[in-house]
Amino acid sequence: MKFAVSLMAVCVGAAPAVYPPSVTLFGVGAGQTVVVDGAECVVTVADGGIAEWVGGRVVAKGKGATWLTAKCAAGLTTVPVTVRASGAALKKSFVNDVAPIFTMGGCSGANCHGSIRGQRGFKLSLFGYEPALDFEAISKRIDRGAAEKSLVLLKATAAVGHGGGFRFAADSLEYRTIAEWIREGAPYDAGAAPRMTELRVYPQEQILVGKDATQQLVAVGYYSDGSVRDVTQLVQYSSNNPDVVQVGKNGQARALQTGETAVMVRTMGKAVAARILVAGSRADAGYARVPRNNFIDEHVFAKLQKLNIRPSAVSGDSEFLRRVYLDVVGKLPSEEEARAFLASKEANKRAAVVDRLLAQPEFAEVWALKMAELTRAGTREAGAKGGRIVYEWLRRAFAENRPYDQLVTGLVLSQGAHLFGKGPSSFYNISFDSNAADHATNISQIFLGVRIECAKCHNHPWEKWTQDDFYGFAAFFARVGVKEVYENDENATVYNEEGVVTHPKTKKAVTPKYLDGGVEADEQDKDIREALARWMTRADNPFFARAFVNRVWKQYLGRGLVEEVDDFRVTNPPTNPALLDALAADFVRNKFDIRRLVRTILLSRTYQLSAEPNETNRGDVLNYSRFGMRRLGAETLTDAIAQVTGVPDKFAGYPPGTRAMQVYAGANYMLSTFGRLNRDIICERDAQPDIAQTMHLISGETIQKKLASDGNVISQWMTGDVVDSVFLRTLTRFPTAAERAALDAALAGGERRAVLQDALWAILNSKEFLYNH
Amino acid sequence: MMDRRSYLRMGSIAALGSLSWSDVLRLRAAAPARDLSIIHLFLAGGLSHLDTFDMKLNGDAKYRGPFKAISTSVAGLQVCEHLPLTAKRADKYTVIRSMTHKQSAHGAAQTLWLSGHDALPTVLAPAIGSVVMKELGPRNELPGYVFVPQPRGNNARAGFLGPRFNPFSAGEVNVAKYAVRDMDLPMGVDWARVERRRGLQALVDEKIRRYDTTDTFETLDAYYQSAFDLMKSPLAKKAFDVGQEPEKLRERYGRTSMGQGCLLARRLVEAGVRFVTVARGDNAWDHHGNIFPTLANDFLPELDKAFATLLDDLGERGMLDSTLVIVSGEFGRTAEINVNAGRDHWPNCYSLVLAGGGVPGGLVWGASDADGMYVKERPVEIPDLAATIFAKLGIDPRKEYVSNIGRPFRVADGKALEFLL
Repeated sequence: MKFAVSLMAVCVGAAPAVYPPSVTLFGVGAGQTVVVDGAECVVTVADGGIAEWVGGRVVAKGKGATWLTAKCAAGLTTVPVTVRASGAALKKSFVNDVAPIFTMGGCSGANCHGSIRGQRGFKLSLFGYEPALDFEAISKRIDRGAAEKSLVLLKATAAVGHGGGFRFAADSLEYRTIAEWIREGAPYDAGAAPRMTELRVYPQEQILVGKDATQQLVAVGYYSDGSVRDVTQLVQYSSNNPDVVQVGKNGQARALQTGETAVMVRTMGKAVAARILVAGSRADAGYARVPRNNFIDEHVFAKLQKLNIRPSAVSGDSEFLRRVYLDVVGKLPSEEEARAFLASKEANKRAAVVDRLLAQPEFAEVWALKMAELTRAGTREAGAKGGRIVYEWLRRAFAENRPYDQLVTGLVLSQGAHLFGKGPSSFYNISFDSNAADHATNISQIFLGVRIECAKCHNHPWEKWTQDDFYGFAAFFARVGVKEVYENDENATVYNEEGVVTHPKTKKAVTPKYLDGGVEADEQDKDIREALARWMTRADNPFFARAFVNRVWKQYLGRGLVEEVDDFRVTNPPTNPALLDALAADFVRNKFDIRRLVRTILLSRTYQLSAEPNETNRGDVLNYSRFGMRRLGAETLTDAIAQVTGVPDKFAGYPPGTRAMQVYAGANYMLSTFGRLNRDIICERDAQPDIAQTMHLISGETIQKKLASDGNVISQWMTGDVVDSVFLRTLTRFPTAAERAALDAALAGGERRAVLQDALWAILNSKEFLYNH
Repeated sequence: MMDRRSYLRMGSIAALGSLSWSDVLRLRAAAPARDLSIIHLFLAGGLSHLDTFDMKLNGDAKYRGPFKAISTSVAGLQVCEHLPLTAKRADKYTVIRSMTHKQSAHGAAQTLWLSGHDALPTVLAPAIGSVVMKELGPRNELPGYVFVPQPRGNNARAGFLGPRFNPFSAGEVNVAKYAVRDMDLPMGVDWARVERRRGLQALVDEKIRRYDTTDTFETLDAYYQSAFDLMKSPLAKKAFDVGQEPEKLRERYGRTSMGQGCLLARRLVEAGVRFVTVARGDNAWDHHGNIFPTLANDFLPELDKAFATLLDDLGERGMLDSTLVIVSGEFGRTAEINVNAGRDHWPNCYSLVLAGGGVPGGLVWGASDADGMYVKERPVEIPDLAATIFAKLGIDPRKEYVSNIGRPFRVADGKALEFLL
């Protein structure tokens, strides 16, 4: 979660950045790769008796402390160098020397021996997270008498046929390490042998300017005995987006095109990431300062300047009005509202419309539906009726602007009868047997943005979560039960007097444990969920506020700062960590005031930028340099079609006049085709088009029936000049000259009703209508 | 138990195993080239192998169902008495009795069966049909990959390949006046009027077109074009019009979801569609309770008529050699009969049937143990079967895509099975 940003050496004239920031060497001969980021540099070590600079590495010569100086054209930087006695045995360690080679070489990847099935009978743990298992598999493939005849070496050097081909040469460091370990008896590490406790990569963030610019990464391992080791050549590097940055086996990252990506660095079940940004050109001196509306713009525009990307201009009034209506209340502005807003000369008219919309009941409906979908309200036995109770509870909470911490606490503590209760009592009714593991998965993913589910079955291969973490968190829900209430023929969520979660490996009851935190005693007369809710909503909880502000950000800006929005992890860093932190801090400081958070976002210049690209931001999709266009959601689109045509939809089981946004459960063909979820699993909607949607817009009943309906808007347009009205009502703008001419000509030459039907069809099928822009 | 002929059939190929891609190419070069199509009868929910193609008449009595086995056109091979038409055509298909995997939940097992890959939390694997579309594309204006009636969830979809390669939903066929949803122009709108509408649509689109720097709008335009091509196409109109078939043939297929779905599948393949999946509703075969009457009175007669008639119909039209028919659910069902007189999910060992497309007829591959619980010999895993399907279509199973999270993703992780090529 925590992501320290160290951004150095990008500004001309600064002292060079040197990585790592300090060097500790254990034992004479130990070395550390050091990267100096500067031009025309000379590197020296002050006391040559302690360490020396050899080919990009500091190598220990004797015990003591000294420093390294990098003197470059722009200035100089010194870094402390300490050489300590070597504590570790000199023999090769399976865990620390041999096993990492199989991760680094790609052998334990998911497509090779790390796959669930292994490969040709040789199975390794995925990315080497279980060295004890790998030891067993590798031990069967070595020749203790003649190391060089060991199958693992013959295969890896492709001396015999190997599906995975050549991995390393017989004179490579990898080969020598494995061979030496075999000659030393190929032992498994004794219990007390040091284990890596932390892996760090340097630099954590770097901007590369221009194609083919490179950056050497440095990886440092920290061990349980206090020792530190250069593992730059022992880790596996992989770029999350190899089209933007490619990274070689030796840790050298190379820019391929502008953009940014995280580079994952992995070994022995540890994973960290470095963020590499590729700018097209260095920030130029003439980069004009973009006006800021609030702190959001400070962070967004600061990053854009680093990348030398200029944000688009501010959107026009008609674009802004349409956008903010669709986003905040899920409706189009009426023709009258559009005319009034476009004509208004009030300086603060945008803020005024934001405040007006935030106070409308539709704002609560949009969020209640979103939250009902996330919590899968109304699934299983609770059905539509139970779903309605949860939805209504959520809708009221959003309508009265209940602080988010209280809202979530209400869900976490919910219990009672599902169909006759008052609160969101069927919140826990999500799975067949409603077990603690499911609740842990659900609550961590929805409210903490953490997917710990993988750790249910095995330690997470890329992340820090272990089975102990998973079951420790699940133990908070050990006493939550869903049982049948016979009198009323319905289910109820109950908090049982007892109940434990059993660890699948130890078979022992697990003590409740917070994620990344301590344990909590489960006392019989207390509901331990109260302690959990307090922990979740604490001001310093590292997950809670960040997860929600990220969701809210995505709702209005189209893309999460962390994407997917519920997949926060070290190897999936935010695109703008400072902004995420600032949004979360602001949210906490303002006591989890949802409306205030939304207002802050909507009033930022960032939200109000035009979607039209300029020459510098055409390729940018990650940094909010222009408004991110997106297709209207299923409900918004359905309601917009009804609003434009003046023909409301009818939804089975709902009273007349219900809009799609108010349909809290179930879906008709239009809604499900355009992406409404069936709530089987927690997932985000997919807004990508497909052919069934297109055919439905072309000839489906959602549009056609309304165009053919006698009482539709066209009956109000049978006389007079209506061309402005047609465009204001649909696109919140006046027609262009060409559009007006085309429609005037058609009206002059054709049957009026048919021409207006055709015009509405064309606009409802236009990209400008289907997209929020 | 086993007669000479079927024994020989099993023994003659015992030495063959799985193949490398160069072996596949060599074999394919020797065999006549087929432009293969696929019809998949997807028994979603899970077919009980023990009550159909792998009956255990001498197994433990407590596991045995009430059905009798009957002889087939292949001496030594017996199937359930409720599959009499299928029995007479045993010389046309291969039964694999040694399918095995480890996914016992519908979602994960269907992902595995429909995509050939184990479900992962971060990668949405493309369905086999979607990969076929990506690699081979449609043959004409008809969609190349059709699902009858419609896929459930993401399992039959294109995943990270993108929605372009999603299946086209044909809808439920066994209804009065079957038509594909939204295929016809609305009343009162002719093609001349559609052209006028599109003219104005293009004009309105001009303003915003320059906002898009990805290919989103181009993709959307392409959808409109394909949709209009499809709606205009006499070939498509004809292919989806199952009403053009003689009553007699429609009855032979059966007036059921599977029956009429298979009939539509044949018409679609005839018109150029590459891959058709036919299912009967969501997880319809998930018989946790009252399994025997349900199978005997409903599901098995439906399958029997649909499958047998499809084989006859394809054969009569000379299409059987170029159409691979696959019959399978995502797993089998337990030997144990539960308290509700049902059988539960069982992926450890189950049966799958293949016909046409050059696969051998009258063959039984692999065997289960005495009670049909575990594989006794020649286990076949889904990734191998997926590799086989790709190989038969001329798609290199080792081809790699880069998935949504930048993870290399091999089209199929298994190796093609030589006896099916």
